[in-house]
Formats: sequence, structure tokens, C-alpha cells
Amino acid sequence: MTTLRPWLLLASALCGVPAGAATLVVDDDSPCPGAGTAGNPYCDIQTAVDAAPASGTTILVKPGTYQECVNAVDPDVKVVALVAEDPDPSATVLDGSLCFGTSTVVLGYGSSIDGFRLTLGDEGAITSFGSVSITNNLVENNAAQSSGGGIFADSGLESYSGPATINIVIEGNTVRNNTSERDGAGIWVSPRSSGTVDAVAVVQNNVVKSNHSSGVGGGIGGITQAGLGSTASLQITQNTVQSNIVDAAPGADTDGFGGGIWVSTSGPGQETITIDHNTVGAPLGSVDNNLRNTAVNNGGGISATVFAVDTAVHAIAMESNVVRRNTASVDGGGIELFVVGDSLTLPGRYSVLISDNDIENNTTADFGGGFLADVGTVNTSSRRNPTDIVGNRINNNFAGWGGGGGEARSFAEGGPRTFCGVSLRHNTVTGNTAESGDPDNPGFAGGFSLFTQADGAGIARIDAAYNTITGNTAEIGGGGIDLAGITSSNAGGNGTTLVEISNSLIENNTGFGVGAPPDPDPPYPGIFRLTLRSSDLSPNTEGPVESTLAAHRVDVCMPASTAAERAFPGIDSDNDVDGQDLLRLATAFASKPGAVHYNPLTDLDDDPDHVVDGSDLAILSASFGDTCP
Amino acid sequence: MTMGSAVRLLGVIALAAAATACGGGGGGSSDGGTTGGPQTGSFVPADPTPPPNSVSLQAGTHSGLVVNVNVAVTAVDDFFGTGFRIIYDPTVAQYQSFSSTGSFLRDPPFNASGQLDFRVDASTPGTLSIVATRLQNGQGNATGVDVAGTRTLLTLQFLMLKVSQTSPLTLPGSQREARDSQDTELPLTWQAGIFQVF
Repeated sequence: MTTLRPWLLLASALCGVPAGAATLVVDDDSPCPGAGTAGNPYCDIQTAVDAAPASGTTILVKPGTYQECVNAVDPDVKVVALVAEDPDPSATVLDGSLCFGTSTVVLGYGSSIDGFRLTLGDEGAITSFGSVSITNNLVENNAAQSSGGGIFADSGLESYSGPATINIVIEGNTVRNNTSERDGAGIWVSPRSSGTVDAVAVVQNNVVKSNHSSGVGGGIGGITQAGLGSTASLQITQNTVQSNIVDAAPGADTDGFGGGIWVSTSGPGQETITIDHNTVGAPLGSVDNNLRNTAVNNGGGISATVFAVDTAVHAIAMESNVVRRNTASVDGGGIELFVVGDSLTLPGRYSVLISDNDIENNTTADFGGGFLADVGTVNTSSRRNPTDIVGNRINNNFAGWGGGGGEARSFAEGGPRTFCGVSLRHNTVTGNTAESGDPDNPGFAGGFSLFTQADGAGIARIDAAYNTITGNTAEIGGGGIDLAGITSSNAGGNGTTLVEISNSLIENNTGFGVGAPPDPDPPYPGIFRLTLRSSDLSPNTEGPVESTLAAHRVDVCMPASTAAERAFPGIDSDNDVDGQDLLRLATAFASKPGAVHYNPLTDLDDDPDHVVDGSDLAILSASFGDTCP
Repeated sequence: MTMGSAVRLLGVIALAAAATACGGGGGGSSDGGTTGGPQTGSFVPADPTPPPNSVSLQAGTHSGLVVNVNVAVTAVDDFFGTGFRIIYDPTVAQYQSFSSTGSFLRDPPFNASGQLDFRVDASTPGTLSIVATRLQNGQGNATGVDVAGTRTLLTLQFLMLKVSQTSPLTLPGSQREARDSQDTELPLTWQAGIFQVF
């Protein structure tokens, strides 16, 4: 026995079922056409939509199977609430097998759909424009040639004339076994904004499973696009995303990204993407590899792109997700992040935060078993475009070439004064492996692979601080950290590259604590400096630091074998704590990762919110005037 | 009281109270300073009319052997804070204290605790490590000060230990910087000066 929704029963009873009232009733067991009343329901949904006034109608659908195509947009927009009477979505079926070239349901501009099973759609199950609420549906076994095999939700700006904010809500659905020849096989969502219209999309509490895309985003795909002066945001939260696949046609280099989730920013306005509290792949404790998401290119679990140009203000945060047992055939087994900041001038900026995630047991064929963070700026002098990878647990991942735990790349291209920075702090990196089995291209960087390159007057910097990097394995070079590339060993890199490793435990790794390839002979132009500070780099099987780094290395307060020594602060790269250090903390005071004035180098304590606060100031103050012994 | 203890007491008084009227040629320094009349210390700035966009050391009040040095800022927009060092000869001068009471960083509404940080470390003789800055807020919109003319950032007090001396103060170039509220380093001119005692 199923439980019917009591409020709907009450509404029906009170309605007296006159045609054109606030609630129309549909029952496939009723004789056609019917009148939309409780006593004489319509026999199909489209008839109810056609009969509904422009807005304000609830269409209550009785359990049954409805093999039809429902369109509430053409020729006239009808703002309707499609509600399955039975809360069990399997009881009310919308069969789209006759909807050739169109979605089973097309709606939007304030409409909603709740509680259906939508299946066999030929061009996706649900297509929506403008504000929409898509809740508690079972969306399965649909296909689409375009994006959104299950659900496609777009702002529909071209025909939009509604309120100042478009709200897209996709919540509580199960979306499985859908396919798309393009992007977002399970769910595709594109909050776009323009002029005076903002857009907000929330994808929440859905189960997105076993979908298959041939573009990007095997499970979920999303893109924000804000026009100048407007804002667009996308939040993907508390979803379970498992067993999805993204592949690509041969030679389609931009496809095959994001087995579970793919997102990107794109516009000139203000855009925010948040991916938080999702389970992407196997949950914690599970060893079921069948739950992995798979990408034929990068980002087995999640692939995220920031593309910020000129005055665009873009932010992406990935927080508190479980990203486990995913697979990428190229780079970034768990997470791939690709950032481009091009010609950014105020207010233009980007910020990226990857924080407090469990990134475990992911695999990739080449670089970044746990994650790949590929960050580059072009003609951008501001240092306030942070990429912070903070407080993650990065364990037991595998890379077939470099960066078992993860690879971070910092590129500063163009000049003068272009700056690019990546910060990795407070991460736990254990049990990761870089192994190729190929003696000609041995696996390097069991824990972190750090790659910097700067052109012209550019400065590319990576900071790795307060990390615990233990028990990782590489076949060559750094078992803990390997500097996969340094300026003077990269053709085209003639700027300044800086890597600072501080306040970290790097021990019990197979390989060197910190390693790097040898310089070529003759070297390429450019400056490279490695600063090692207040870290403990032993024991590691091959020694603390590979000899290839001797010419580039500055040691400050090394080694630091006790917690007190590792806590020795200092923010700039000299060997003391003075006014310059305090000044930098002052300008970053009260900030946290993602804030415009956050400076991860000033986050000295280990509080979980990583706010630069009085605790950090106290630590710095306690050492004010100290110098390294 | 023995004569010896009286002499030592006189020396302590001279050091601590700046001997404004020690007169009579007493209070001679312990390491060869000449005597012959009331001793007066002062600070001579490198440039008493500093240029725009500069941080300079300027003469403050002085009394006997006590010399106040003002750290001044001239014509700088959005001055949020600075960290720098002063190097001096610790056999010539002894750092006593600092005051931020009249600092322009305290311009309203930034005059509450938790909004400012002034600090001077003098643990290394001959070196002062100094910070004077506002603290940013959670929104990141705390502003600096648009300094018009020359205004005082903080005041340092020294006690001269030698007489008939001149001795430079320096601001080492690699250990000084000032930043605006956007955390951008301000391109400033830095000027120091000399102590003199006669």
C-alpha cells in the first residue's frame, strides 16, 4: 500500500474539481479526455497543461503510466506544478519512448515537477528553462544526443522576463542509467545570468549513478556564465555520485573530463561554484571499486575549470567531499582542477579552495593520483588569486607516472610581473604511490609532485606547509615530494620559480624526502629557488634531499624534528620573524581560504577553519624577534 | 652611604631620568665621553622636509640625553602598515620605549584594540624590529590612511650613552616595507638620520 500525500488529497477534496481551478487532476485510468476534476480527471498530463491558465496551477497526477510528451513551454508558457500523487516515484511513470527528438517533459519559468519516474526519454527526461524545481523524481534509462541525458536545466535567458533572480533547484532525485552524447549524462545545469538578472542553481541530495556521457561530466555537468554586472552561482551539495563514466570520441581532446562531476566558470561577471559534502565514488570505508566514477581523460571523480578573464570574478570551492576510488585515464584520478587567470585587473580575480576532502584510493594513468591542480595566470600581476589546497586527507592514491598523492602546477606566463601561486597546507598525504613499471620513465613523487614554470618576468610559486607526508612511494626522485620541473630545466621557462616547503613532516617515504630531476646541460635561463624551512625530512629511504637540488636550495631552520621547531613561524623567506612578517599577517588578518585578502602563509596554527586570527598573531608574536639558530 | 655607592646611584639617575639638570660636569660616561657642560642629545634627520611617498625618521622632542625620534610618513595614499628595522650603535644610544598614542593609524574608527598592532623588538642590541599596522577585517575592506603632509606613525625614545658623538641610524633596505590595504607593497622612499650629543 502506498501512502498518498495528504495535503494533495485535502486540496483535491476542497477543490470541488472545477475545470480551470488551482488543481487539475490526471488519471490514466480515467476516460479521455476528462475534465480535470477529482471525479472526472483528465486522462493525460498534456491535456491538463493545455487547460491550465498561464500560472498557478497544480497538476495532480494519479499513479499509472503516462506515455506522452509534456510541454509546458511551447506554444505558451504555463507555470505549473506537476505533482505525482503517490510519493513513491516508481508509481507514477512518465514514459518518453514516443518523444522523438524532444524531452519527455519541457517546463520552467517557475514550474516544478515532483515525484515521477521518468524513463525512456529520447532527448532527455526533463528539460527546463528559467526558475524550476525538480524534486524527488526517479530519472532513469533516458538518452540524449545533447547535454543532460536525464535532466537539463538552463536559465533560458533568451526568453526570460521574470524576477531578478532565476532559481534552479534539483533536489532529492535519483538519476541513473542515463546517457548523453554530450555533457552531464545524469544532470546538466547551466545557471546563466545577464544584465539585471542573476542566477542561482542548487543540485542537492540527489543520487546520480551509472550515467554515461561522451562529452564532459559523466554524472553531473554544470557551467556558470555571468554577464557583466550580474552574478551566477552553482552549488552541488550532499549528492551521491557513483559509477558514472565519461568517455570521448577519438581525438576529442576537450572531452572525457569529470567522470562524476564536471563544472566550469565561463563568463565576464561574478561566478561562484561550490561542490561540498558529496560522496563521489565509494563512501568512506567501502572497498567497492564498482562505485568508482571513470574519466577517459582527466578528473575521474571531479573536474573543475576556472576561466577568468579581465574583470571576471570567479570562485570555486570543493569542501568536505568524499572522493574515493575513482579513475582517470590521463591525469587527476580523484580531482582535476584547471585554472586560467588571463589579464585579470581589478575587480577581476579568481579564488580556488579545495579543503577538508577525503581523497583516497583514486588512480590515474599519468599525473596526480589524488588530484591534479593545474593553475596558470597570464598577464596578471595581482597576488590575490589564491589556489588553496588545505586540510585534505590524501591517502592511498596511485599515479602511473608522477604525483601519487597529487600534482600541483603553477604557471606564470607573460609579463611583466605576472604572478601565479598555489598553496598546499595542512594536508595529510600518506600511502600514495607513483609507479610506472617502466624503467625508462619511472614513477616519481609518491606524495606530491610540484611543477613550476614562469616565462618572461613572471613569478610562479608553490608553497607547501604544515603537511604530513609519510609512507609514500616513488620509483625515482622524491618519495615524499618531487619537484617535477624547475625553471632551469624547462624549455621556455625563463622567469622566476619558487617553491617553499615548510613546517612539514616528510618522512618514511620510499625515495628521497624531496627530489628533482637533474638540470640539463646547458641549463635553460630562469631562476629557481627551493626554500626548505622548519621541516623534518628524515628518515626517507634515499635520504632527505636529492643532490640535484643542491644548487637551488636554501635551508632555513633545518631540520625541525620537534613540533615546537616546526611551529617556528616566519612568513617571508628570510630566517627571522620581524615586522615584515607581522605586516603580512596584519593585511591578511581575519581572512579565511577563499577570501580576497587571505594569505595562506599567515595561517600558522592548525585550527580547522583556517582563519587568520588572533591565534596566528599570538604564534607570530611569541617568536617576534627570533632568528633561526 | 659610601662614596662609591653614591656615584653609582648618580649614574643610574642620570641614565633613567635623562639628567635634565645634571650639570656640573657630573655624570660622565663610563667609556670616555668628554665633559664640560650640560649634555644634550638630539636627532638630525636626513631630510627635515621629506618628499612625498616617504617614510622618514624625524626629530621629536629631546630633553637632556633623552631623544625622541618620530617615524613619519609623508603624502602616501592608503597607508595600511609597515614593518622595518632600525640599526643603530648600541654603545651610543639605548632604546627606551615607543609610543603610538598620536599615530595616524589610530584615526577613527581604527582606535580600538584588535584593530591595530604596534610592536618593537629590541632584544638584539643595536637593532629594532618594528611593526606598525592596522589589522584587516573579515570582509577585507579595512582601509589604510591617506596621509596628507607629514604625519607621525610612532615615536621611539632613546637615551644617549655617549657625549660628543654623532652616530647614524639606518633603515636596511632589505628589511623594510609598507603595504596598502590591498596588501600591495608601497613604493616609498626611506630616510633616516643621525644622533648627535654635545
